[in-house]
Amino acid sequence: MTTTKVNALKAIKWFKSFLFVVPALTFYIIFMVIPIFGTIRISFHEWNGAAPKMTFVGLQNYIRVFSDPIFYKAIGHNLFWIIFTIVVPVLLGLILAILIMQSFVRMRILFRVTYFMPTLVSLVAVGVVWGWMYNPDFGIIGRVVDFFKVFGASNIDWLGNEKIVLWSLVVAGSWTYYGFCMVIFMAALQGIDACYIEVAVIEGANPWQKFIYVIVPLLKGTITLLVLNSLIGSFKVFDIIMIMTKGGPYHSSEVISTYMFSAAFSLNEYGYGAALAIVLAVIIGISSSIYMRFAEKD
Amino acid sequence: MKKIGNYLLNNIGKIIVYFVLIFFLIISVMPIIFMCLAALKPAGDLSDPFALSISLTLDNIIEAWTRGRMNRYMLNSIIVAVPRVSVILLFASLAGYAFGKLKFKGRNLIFAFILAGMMVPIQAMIIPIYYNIQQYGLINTYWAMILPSFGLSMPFACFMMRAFFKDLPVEIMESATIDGSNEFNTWLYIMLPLVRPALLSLLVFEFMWSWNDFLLPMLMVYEDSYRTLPLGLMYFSGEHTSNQSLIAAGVAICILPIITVYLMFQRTFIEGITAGAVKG
Repeated sequence: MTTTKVNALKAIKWFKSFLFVVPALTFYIIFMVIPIFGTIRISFHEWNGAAPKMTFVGLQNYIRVFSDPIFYKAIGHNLFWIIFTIVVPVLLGLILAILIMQSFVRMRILFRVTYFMPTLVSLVAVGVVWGWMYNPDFGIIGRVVDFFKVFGASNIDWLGNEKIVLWSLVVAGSWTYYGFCMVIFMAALQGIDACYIEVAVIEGANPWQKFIYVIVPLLKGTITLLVLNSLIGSFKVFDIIMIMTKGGPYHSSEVISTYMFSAAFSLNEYGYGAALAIVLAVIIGISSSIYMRFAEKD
Repeated sequence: MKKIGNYLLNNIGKIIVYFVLIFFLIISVMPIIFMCLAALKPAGDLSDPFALSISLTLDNIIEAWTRGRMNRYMLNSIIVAVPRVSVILLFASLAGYAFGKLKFKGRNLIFAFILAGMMVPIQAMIIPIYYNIQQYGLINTYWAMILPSFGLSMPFACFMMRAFFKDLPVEIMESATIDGSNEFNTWLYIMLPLVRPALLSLLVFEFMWSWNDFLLPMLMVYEDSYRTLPLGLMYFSGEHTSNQSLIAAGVAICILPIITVYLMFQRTFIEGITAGAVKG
């Protein structure tokens, strides 16, 4: 065979394989890649969304972002969300998974099924239910706290008080997530070879040592995955905050994504909203890379 | 008495473990159950949705379904979910097979390219998407809610399918080729059935995301007749704030389908995602 014929055959073979990827790639490019560039372009302009022409303003939107006190407030809230989400649901999921994998526990399936349910529920429904639970008049949370005679609590406005609203929201958010973490950890634990644990027991390790020196290192991959997922998710968090408080009261539960949304679609400042969105994307990209680098080192 | 005391003391560890597990089980399930119970309460008991009522009635559910237009919203959710899930599953399993098993130049680069999309927040895309959909006059249509999801869901879906295809033994593919099967037939008749757990898991995931999707419908649709369940529920609860049993009925209608789908597939579903998470 001549070289050209060989090359032609190779090309056809490549193309036949490439064809499998084409549908996914096409839609990905149309609905993700091209819009991102569109957003970048809009971020350099000032635009109200309706006028056919946009005004080019260079880096003005970005300068505005970095001198906007609300932006920093929002980032602070995202960071708070990250820390809480990693400490509470992920850790809780891990502990619960370890508990459930104790050899004497029966009916694991029941637990697995029920713990996962909060993850499935629409966040609008979560917002309605938790909104009621937090209601200062009849909310069940107020009544439980009141039962323990703390601060005379049944009149706390969980969602209307600027200082505690974010805590209230993050608790509701964690409720939807810890079950998911537990189920994932459960499966990971099932994959651990029992002999590792047996060795530790033979060596005389107590449960605490077993936990730190045997189980956690073996779960490193899963922990990394869930922490990364929580990290990205906490920067992206939108639905639950938007539904329950819209970022209020007075921006005390504002996060970057809700701020971007109201800038673009409520205030019609599409250029500013675009800039915020791009800044958010960059922040996520950088923190993910830093985290992955740090997680891989060990 | 002494025996009971001894029993307790010896088993205190187990009791604590069960206590904790059951405690958090209750926390997970309680709000959902409360909602369903509140939906079944007669509309008269307004003041306190958390009080338990003896009389149960389906009236609220019926009213939410008809007068509250929940039937319309559910229909819309189904109309949007079916194409979304089937097309995403199809494209992702095609691509996942290629990424996991077929060797072609640039494969890993393209995969990394698509994977990067998982990190990008949807906010970075919606302004142009919204504008374009407006330009093409597709606001208030089903397509507006269906088409963008094809692109937005691809990263995760491809990631998951690839992980499962990768783990399949190469020999099967090779023997199929030796037997004269072309790539497409190999994919369709041999590889695809082997990744059934992954497909079912992805199906549940994508169905869940489609069903619960709130942002895309909110932007793309403002006419009531096109609203999907979450959107409808949001406006519904805003409209009827005083009638809490009715709202509870709306919530119940919204969450029961996905819970049903989950219960049907839960075993395979959980096996699928946990395998994906532990492998990936």
